[in-house]
Amino acid sequence: MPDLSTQAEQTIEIARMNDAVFRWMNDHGNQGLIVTDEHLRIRIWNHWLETKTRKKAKDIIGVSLLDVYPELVTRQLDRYFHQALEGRSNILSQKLHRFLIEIPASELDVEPMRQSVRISPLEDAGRIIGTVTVIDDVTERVNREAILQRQLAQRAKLLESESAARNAAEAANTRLSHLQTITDEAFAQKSLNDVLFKIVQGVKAVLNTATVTLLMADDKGDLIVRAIDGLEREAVLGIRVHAGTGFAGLVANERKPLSVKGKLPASPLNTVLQEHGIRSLSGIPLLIENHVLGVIHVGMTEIRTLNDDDIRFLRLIGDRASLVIERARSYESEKIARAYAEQANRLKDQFLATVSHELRTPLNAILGWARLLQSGRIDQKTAGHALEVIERNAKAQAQLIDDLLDVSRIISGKLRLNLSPVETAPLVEAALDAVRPAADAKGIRLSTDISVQVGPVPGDPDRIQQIVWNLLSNAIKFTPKEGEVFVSVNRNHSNVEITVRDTGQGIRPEFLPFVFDRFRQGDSSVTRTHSGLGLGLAIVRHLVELHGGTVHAESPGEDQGATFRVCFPVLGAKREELIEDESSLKTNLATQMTFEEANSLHGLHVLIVDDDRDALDLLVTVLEQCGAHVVTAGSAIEGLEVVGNVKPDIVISDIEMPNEDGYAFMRKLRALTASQGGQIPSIALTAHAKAEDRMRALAAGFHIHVPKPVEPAELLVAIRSLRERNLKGEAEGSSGN
Amino acid sequence: MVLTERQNDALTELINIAFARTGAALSELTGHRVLLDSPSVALHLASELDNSLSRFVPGEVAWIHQVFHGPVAGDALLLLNYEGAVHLTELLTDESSDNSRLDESAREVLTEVGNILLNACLGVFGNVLHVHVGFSVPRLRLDTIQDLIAWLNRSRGELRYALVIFTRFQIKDSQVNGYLVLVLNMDSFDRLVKEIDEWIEENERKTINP
Repeated sequence: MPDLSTQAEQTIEIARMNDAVFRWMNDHGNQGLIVTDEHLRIRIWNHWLETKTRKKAKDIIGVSLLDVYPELVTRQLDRYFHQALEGRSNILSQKLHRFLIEIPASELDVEPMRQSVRISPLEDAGRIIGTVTVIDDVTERVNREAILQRQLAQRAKLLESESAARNAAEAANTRLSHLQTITDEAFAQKSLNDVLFKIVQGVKAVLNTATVTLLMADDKGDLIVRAIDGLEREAVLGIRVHAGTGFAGLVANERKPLSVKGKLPASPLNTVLQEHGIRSLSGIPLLIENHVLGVIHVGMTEIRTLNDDDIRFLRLIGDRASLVIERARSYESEKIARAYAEQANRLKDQFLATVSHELRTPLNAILGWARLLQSGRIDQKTAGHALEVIERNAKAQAQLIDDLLDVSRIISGKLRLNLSPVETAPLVEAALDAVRPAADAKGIRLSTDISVQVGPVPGDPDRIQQIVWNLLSNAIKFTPKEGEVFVSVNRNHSNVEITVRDTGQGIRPEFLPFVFDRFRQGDSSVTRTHSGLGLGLAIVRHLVELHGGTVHAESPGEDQGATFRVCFPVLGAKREELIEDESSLKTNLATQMTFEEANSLHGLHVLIVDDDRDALDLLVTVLEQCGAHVVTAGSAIEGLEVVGNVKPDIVISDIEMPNEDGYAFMRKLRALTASQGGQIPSIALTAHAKAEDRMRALAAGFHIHVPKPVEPAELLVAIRSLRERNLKGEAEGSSGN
Repeated sequence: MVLTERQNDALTELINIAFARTGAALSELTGHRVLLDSPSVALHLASELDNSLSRFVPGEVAWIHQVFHGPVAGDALLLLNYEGAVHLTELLTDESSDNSRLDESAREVLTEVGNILLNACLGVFGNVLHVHVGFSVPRLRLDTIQDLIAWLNRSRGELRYALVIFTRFQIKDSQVNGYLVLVLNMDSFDRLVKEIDEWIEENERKTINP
């Protein structure tokens, strides 16, 4: 049995030790410790708290905690102590409460110490006898956490920007490889169209937009849709966006990437795109050395613009696409040019062969018969035939050479027309007369339907006659014996229409479009049955077009004949009046009026001014034979004197004279009053036959301009037309009175 | 064991009282209106908790655990998924951090919230059912749900029941969902059911003879 006193001693010893441990803890602990009784009166207030709060234990032991710190009640923290008295433990979060007792964190700090607090019941033998509160200073921890928080946030941000940079780099890499693929694929294409389609497909695959459109610029700067992805090709291919219009035009003008969203600028292309729900466009120009090759634009159904990366990508694509397109285009145009050159060369070779053959054929006949004649072994009758053959062949060759010269002039642009108002009917008649022997020889019937009064056309009479003659010879050449050639001249609205129809071999439909081309004949084979250079129709077309007219060929097919229709615009009424003087002159000339027929200048007083005596004599002779009274003057001054004295009906003057020329003379004459002779009708005679010379003469006051050397008949016609005009003017003048 | 409809209703009623108190306490503490409601209560065998809870979160859960003792004894837990726990502390402290991480301070907040909620529930049980309940200091732990359930069932040869109460915190137009779980052994559960039955009877008596 143990010794009781020893037990008591032991108990006392343990109690003393506990007390020592408790005191040590009280003095050295780095936590706050508050112990209260069941009335919350302070029983223990440890050293840590004394130091931090500057409240001494001896001053507050036995005082209620809620009296020492009344704010615990207002902060509703008292309930945690009451809960502890009911047996519940609580941990107070520094985040929610910051602290239990307000204590500065350090002497320098304004901020109070952050506290983590645990409030628990103090139990003894199953009974709650008070509360125990432990306070930890967590200020440092809280600061540490805040720093950590900031660091973590920074790191997160850094990671984010790092990953963004990595993503961007990866995206750029992917783009680059896409770019390479698109370029490579485009490069692999031979035809320009395939190149363009590869490009739009590639762009659509990468940017994933609703549409990608590629437009190419033409010579005028219009943009034409050449490739599209995202819409049916048929809907947009070939749509033309005029220069400077629509979105594409804008991009081409600005020469830089552009975007539009919402309402697209009006253009035929944008209308289609809008119909397909496109609401935004971004585009870049395709440039080669600052020359706009075309435009690529992408369409989106959302209202947005491409981001910078996409635009950059599109630009890169554009730069490369321009090179690829340029390469494909030069390859293609080179191919076309080569083919064209080859074709032209072939035609020229063919033509030269034809020329050589055609020129030799008449020469053969000429040379052959000439030798026979030289040999002297042929009789009189055969000799006559020989000369006839030689003449015919020489004429044929002359015609060939004329044609060649015409073509040469056409090619070099030197073919000029001497335009004046011309009635076509007499010219057609003349051409008919010229071909009649040839038609007769083949037994071909020539029938006509020629309206005489169809109105004048502005034309060169020689060339119009040549046109008709060429068409007629062509018709006769290709019409078999006993066939028919029909010619008509009619007014068709504001046109004069000349039609030449034959019952000949006709024209194959496939050759119709080329019938007026140079160096082409429907049959270019060696065994062709028709002679000729095949230039006639080319010359016809060129001459007709020089006249502002048109020529068409029609044929129902081979062996069914052909119809050629030439249209000339009729001279307008006003213009007709302006050059009325010359119109009647030329028309009369064209009808081949003879000297004798014009013999009626009876009673007419004519003044001729010319410094050349011989010229004067000739004109005087001619005019006097026609019954005119002629006065002459050797200079301008003399001429004006004569006008003052004689008052002639008509004045004819040379232009080139010493001292004062014809222009000066006429200006002085026109300066006179009507009664002094200022309005006498006049004719200029000059060696200068160019249009501007004529204009200058008319401007000086002459009525008619007749080029030298003067054909008597021409001069008579001119005088007669002036006299008629004068009579008409007088009649009107008198009726006006 | 299955609760009758009346018992279930009574239990739900008790939890509603406890949640109302917790909501009031949190509102006072934070200065924001905090509402708690519980749309469902379910009873499971503790060993089968895995099936019902593992759907809640695949990853880590934050749970505040408190042991209670007395005539009715067991473990009380508030369970939040990790993001929910971070969100709840942010809502309660008016702070928002760029990283979704539970630091020491956040854990303290959660511990206190768990303590308030668990104390309120068990306190209501104690007061209303006239049983005294003692509590340990609450602790916060981070685990996967599987680890948590394994820990709950560790080295306990006895059959235990788990009351799983779906818990929804509503703060500042946001809501955070969690579970309140009470794990009781057979004796405690029998005692709880008995006390509930008595409480029902008492209430009915009061209703008949006020």
